[in-house]
Amino acid sequence: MKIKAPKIGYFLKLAFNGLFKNTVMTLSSIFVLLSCLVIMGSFYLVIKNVNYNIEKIDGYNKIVLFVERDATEFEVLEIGDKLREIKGIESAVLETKEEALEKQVSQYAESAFLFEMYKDDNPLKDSYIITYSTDADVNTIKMNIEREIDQISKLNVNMEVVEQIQSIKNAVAIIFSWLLILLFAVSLFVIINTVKLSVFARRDEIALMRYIGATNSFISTPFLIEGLVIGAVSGGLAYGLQYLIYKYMMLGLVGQYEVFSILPFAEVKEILIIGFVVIGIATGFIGSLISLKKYNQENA
Amino acid sequence: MIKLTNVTKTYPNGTQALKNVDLTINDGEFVFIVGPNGAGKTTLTKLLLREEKPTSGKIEINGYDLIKMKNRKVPSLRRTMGFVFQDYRLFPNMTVFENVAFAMHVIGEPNRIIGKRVYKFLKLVNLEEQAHNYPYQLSGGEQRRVALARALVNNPQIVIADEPTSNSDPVMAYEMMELLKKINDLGKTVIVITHDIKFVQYYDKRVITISDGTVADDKAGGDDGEN
Repeated sequence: MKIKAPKIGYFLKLAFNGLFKNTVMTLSSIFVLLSCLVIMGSFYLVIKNVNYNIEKIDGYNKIVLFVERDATEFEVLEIGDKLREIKGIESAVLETKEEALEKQVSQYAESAFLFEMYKDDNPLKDSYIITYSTDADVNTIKMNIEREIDQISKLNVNMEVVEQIQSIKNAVAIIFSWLLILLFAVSLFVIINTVKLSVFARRDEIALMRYIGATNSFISTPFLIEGLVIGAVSGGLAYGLQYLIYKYMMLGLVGQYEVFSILPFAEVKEILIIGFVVIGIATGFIGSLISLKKYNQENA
Repeated sequence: MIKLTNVTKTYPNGTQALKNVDLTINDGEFVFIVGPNGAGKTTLTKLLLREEKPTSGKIEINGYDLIKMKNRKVPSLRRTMGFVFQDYRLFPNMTVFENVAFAMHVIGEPNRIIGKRVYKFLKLVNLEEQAHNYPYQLSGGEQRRVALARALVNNPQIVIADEPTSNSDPVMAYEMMELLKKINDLGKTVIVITHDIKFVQYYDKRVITISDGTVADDKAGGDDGEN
């Protein structure tokens, strides 16, 4: 007998029927997935805030470039243009040797007379204070600067601080990646079991479908749609809940202590909503798929 | 056509449910299968639906070789048969209409055809008025008729009814048998598995008696001629 194309409308109807008729299963799946997503999201936000505060440490993402003394004024300005073209560099601010001397004078106001003699023969050099993006690799930037600019007298990078911060950031990233994998695995495991329970609860219905001549894909499709819907709903709810937690816990409580700077929620909202919905849908779908594949193999 | 050749079924626990059964049921026949509990009727049904495979022997139904066929072909085989379960097995969360329509959705029929055809078969079993009721709102006899409509709606070549008269009052039971006879008159093969000897005698059709896993007797009906 010819098997005709399935009708998505009918599958949707069956899926939503299933979701509403098995409210306990549906709600428990949503609750579990929502919890896992919020835990993942909370870790992500804590880590983001840790990085945000680390990056605020003075001089972390700054390089000072001293220009050779024999460079002309035009050449000095040209260096500035070249620097700004290098990938990863956010700004390059020129500090002329005159400005540097004035800074010294004002810094040591009581001994200002000592600098008088240098006014006509300034021993200081023109310099650029370069700020680079916190995502960029400082070694690559350093290499690019050295390649592009000829008249470098000295390039000052606080490698010790950079390396320490980088190693903290790396450690945090590794911990977060493992946590993410672990929580994803936990969510998947729970979803697989919830779908398995749901399939088990409806095994008579499924057996009957088989007697009538339903194919495995006909039987599985509504369950997969249920998984997708549960995933998407959990993702959406997790975003809302995460927003409230962040607003009241982080901004409200932690934010009162001036030691910490709190990353504004607006800066992470896009990644959070996309992440939650994608992870939610993926977990719901993959969980249902694994569960059904196993069931169909056992009951073929 | 249904053809069993030297079919034996032994379960893993050692129970031999069927022993060297040879049986042929031609297209358009009306057959009663009778026998005491544990005789092998249920196993025979399971083999026909390809829910189980025989331990040895050969089964052919409507051109399908049930031994060689791949699992993914089983739905196609089952679509050539309509099965009426003893316990009806309706979907409790679907209306009468939806229960019958479900069988048509399974084979991917378009909605406009489903609507017309479902009502045609509900009319046949005299349940069109109940189309929007749920199974729990129906009597046992009515539920069985819904199950029959669902078994028939895809125009199967073979209809198998398991104990179609059990738990029914005499009038309901008679009506059910008359419906099955009417279906047979339309050219369908009808197999009735029953304990109800009075109907077997009344209709005077072919009777296959299964006993202790073998075909103990195969008697042609008065209005069928020789089998």
